[in-house]
Amino acid sequence: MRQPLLEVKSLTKHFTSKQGFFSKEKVVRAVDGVNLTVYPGETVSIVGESGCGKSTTGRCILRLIEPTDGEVFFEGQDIRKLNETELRRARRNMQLVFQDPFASLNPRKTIGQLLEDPLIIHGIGNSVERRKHVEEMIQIVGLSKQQLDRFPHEFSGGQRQRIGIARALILRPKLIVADEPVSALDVSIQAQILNLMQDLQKEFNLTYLFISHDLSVVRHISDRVAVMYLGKVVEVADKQSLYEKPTHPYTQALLSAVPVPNPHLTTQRIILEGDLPSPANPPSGCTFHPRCRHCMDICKTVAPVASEVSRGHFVTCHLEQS
Amino acid sequence: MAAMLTIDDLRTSFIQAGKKLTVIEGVSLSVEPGETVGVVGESGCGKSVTSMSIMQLLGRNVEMTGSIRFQDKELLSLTDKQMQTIRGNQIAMIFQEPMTSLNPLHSIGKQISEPLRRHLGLSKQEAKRRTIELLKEVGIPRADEIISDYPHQLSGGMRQRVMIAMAMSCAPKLLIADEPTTALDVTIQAQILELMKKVRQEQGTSILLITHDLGVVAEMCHRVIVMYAGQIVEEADVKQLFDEPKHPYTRGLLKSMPSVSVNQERLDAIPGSVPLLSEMPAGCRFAPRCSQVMDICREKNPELTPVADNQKCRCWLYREEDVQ
Repeated sequence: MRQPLLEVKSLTKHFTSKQGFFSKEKVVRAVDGVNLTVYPGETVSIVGESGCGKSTTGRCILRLIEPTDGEVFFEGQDIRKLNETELRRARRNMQLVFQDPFASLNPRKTIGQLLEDPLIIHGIGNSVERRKHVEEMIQIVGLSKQQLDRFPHEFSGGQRQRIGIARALILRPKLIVADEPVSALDVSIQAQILNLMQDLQKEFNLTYLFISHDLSVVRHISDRVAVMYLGKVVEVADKQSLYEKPTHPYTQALLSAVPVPNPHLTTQRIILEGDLPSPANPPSGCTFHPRCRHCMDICKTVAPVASEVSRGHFVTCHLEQS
Repeated sequence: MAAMLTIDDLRTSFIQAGKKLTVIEGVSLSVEPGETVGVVGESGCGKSVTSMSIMQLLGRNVEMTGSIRFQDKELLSLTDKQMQTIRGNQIAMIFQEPMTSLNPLHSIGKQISEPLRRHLGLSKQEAKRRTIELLKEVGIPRADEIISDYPHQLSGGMRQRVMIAMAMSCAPKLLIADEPTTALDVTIQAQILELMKKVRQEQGTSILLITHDLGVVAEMCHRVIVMYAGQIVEEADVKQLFDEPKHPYTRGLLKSMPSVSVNQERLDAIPGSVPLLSEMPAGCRFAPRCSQVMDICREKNPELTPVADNQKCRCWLYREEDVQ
């Protein structure tokens, strides 16, 4: 039995907001009991639409946001129980790549400084060794040593994302949480970055938790996929099983909504009615029931639990429980 | 039948600090009545500037040459006043980001009724009634309440429906949709694309659809124009383009897309990135990234020439007689 690298159990994040001094506190259930297991060397993706809680889940796992409840085990150690010093040490093994390569690099630092910072923070090497390390890293992501003294604004979006990846990799972490790393990029550049991430995964034996709204990108990069809707995981399966036999009505609608670049096909599309409900006021029972075309009476009152429909393929839906 | 829109050799340049930067280099295209033409390309290829040139929304520091004919009118020779009677009336536009293109200080109802009152001369009461009808047509529930809401109170999908209602309010003959679904989630995008198809079917509107998403193109368009670095590099019927793409850039674009329906081992990325405006290569603009580059490509930029029925391409590969 393989030991998981990351194990997330009933992870919950509730944000509270107050509209005015006398008003009642509103609870936004951004992440509501997420379970997820990631094994070493694999790529697990969380896919879902805006507001489903996929980014919050990623940030809670790294404790960039404090979770409200639940457990996050990284190599068997509960991240939530660590104090600040221990957490910093643990973060050496878990790094984040952000979506927006324009906002996530400090514009006043050179690329060399940006890449050296993590090494300084973790007290690695002397300045000569660090420089050597930084020079190596920048070449690994496909840029050149000469570019280290430039500032972020001198680079294109794709190059900046390479820098973001180099910064995350410089500590040689085991886990990379990549939050929409290619969403801001054009398709030809996106392909370059996805290829780079796959090459790096092989070279450094990396584990990726990949967060994205793009179902085609997710199919390409993942081994396993978790689909989120309103703070909950509604379906988890290996890629093949999820894309060939989507079982949750939401996953089915999501996949059918993707426009296929083939003008000969007329797609049979499942159109979801209405918008995503507010996570501050989620529907009762199964949170997907107001938009579901298979909605039954039980869905309106009882929240379904996950059941295994085939090996490793879990679905949270009443249809699969009868 | 006469074309709805004919652009001939359009050049759009921005004048900045005394320097002229040419963003659009000799774009020619036409949109027939009832036709949907897609313009695809990556950021900076000039697809949005083309649409803004048609609408003449680029402000003062701009120089446009060539010709943009809408039905029998030459838009480039109209005064601002004359253009105002066409804009929003006969040619309407949907923008990418409905949050920034709606005025946050005016209610939804006021914004939709404005063109109705201005272009169609409806009274306040009539305009209000028509506004509610329009909102219902684009599938907005509780339309009579929504008209007093402000843009921030609506979701992204709802705001884009409002934009479409506004664009369709004067029954335009030509609709320019600039990345109409890019900011939306995929299930909401599906709703909006269905709505655009419905509007097109009911009113026979010609559509110029600007997008970077080839999936949207395959689904919506009859004909496609591929732009790269300010120029058209390929133009073809939609089926022809996907079945037999000719230009190496179009091929590269199609191959670099991950697919939702099949597994791929590795993506064929196009190396490098789009050249800067100030550093345009002397020959073919795609030459530095092209896998089939020849000597002539670095020296001379090829013309856009027919390569098959209903297909044109700007590439030396298809002009062997000229190369030899």
